[in-house]
Amino acid sequence: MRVVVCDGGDRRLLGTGQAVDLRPAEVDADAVRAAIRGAHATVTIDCPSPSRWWDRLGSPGDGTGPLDRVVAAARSCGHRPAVERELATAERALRALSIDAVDTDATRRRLADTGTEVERLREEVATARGRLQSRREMDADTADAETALADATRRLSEAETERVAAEQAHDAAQRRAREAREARERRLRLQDRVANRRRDTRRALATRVQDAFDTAVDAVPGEAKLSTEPLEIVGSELTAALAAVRVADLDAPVVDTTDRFDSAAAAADSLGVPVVRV
Amino acid sequence: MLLVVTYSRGARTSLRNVCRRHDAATVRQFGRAALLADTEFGAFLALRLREKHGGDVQIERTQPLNEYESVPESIREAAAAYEAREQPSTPYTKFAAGTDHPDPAAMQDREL
Repeated sequence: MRVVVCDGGDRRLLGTGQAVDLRPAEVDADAVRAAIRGAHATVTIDCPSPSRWWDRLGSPGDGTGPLDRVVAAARSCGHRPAVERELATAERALRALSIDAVDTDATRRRLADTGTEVERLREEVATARGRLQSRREMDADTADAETALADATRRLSEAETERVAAEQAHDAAQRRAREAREARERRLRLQDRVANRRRDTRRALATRVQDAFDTAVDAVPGEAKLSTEPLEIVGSELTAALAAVRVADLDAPVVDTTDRFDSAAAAADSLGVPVVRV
Repeated sequence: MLLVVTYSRGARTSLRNVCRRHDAATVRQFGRAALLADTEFGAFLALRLREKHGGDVQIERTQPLNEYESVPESIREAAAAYEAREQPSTPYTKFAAGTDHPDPAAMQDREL
């Protein structure tokens, strides 16, 4: 590895070899990570380009979960548990599933509104009938009252027709929603299967590197233990992160901000990969 | 009561949280479904779930069945008689054949 900084037109070599300490040069971890990816404006690091597992492993102490690191380490070593095929199948089926809308909000509202309107008009008809009745009893003129009753009756009949139409529309919408929920039911089962297979995959990967991890912990500072029942890491997360690096098959340099090693060289030696100390 | 059924992992988690937090409004919880109290608060909780998860939340209103009120006597008697049958392996269709007990297909076509 070769670390160069470009200041204006001026190129300055900051370090070479398996272990480079950039603390004197005051280059921060983000800049180093960008440079390792080949994406920094001024700092250039000549090194193998990072693999897809490097994101999770290359910066111990960056907040990545310790189990995620162990899983990434196992993958970097080429482990491919059989359950992963089932996972892929379930994920494919999940992606292929199409989900229709099951919303019956509009028909529910229409049904409720038409029901209220029918109730209101029934009362209006009763009132109009009462008025007509009392005018008849008083021998008063009934022409207006008759018109009002006829009018209310006609509107009630229209509202009742509308209510029947609303009921039919709602029944149809509910039937469609019921059928569409079958797909949601399947999706939920697939989501659960994906989650279970993903858990199984992680457990299988962790199990594959469990011995290597225990050995690696002995070679790095601190204490950590990987257990698979339940799947967890007990002890120092940082130690686990360093052990995962040692287990992993990485080419690109690791960015060490941990203060766990006496020197960049000691870190490179312990982790078995090139190290940039910042 | 309000029956809330969920159709996604997110909706199921929300429902479980709601039930855990609102014990008094939860009549019963079964995995991805729950019965909430038939109160404004029960409805409030159910509607919040639907607001959050849309079509992944189904809400139905249930009521206890009073069979003496809504189920014809012939159906009740058939259920009792069939459960008291002497041969456990006899299917209902065979059991009902040649008796006054209702035919399963006919029962399926008649709404309560």
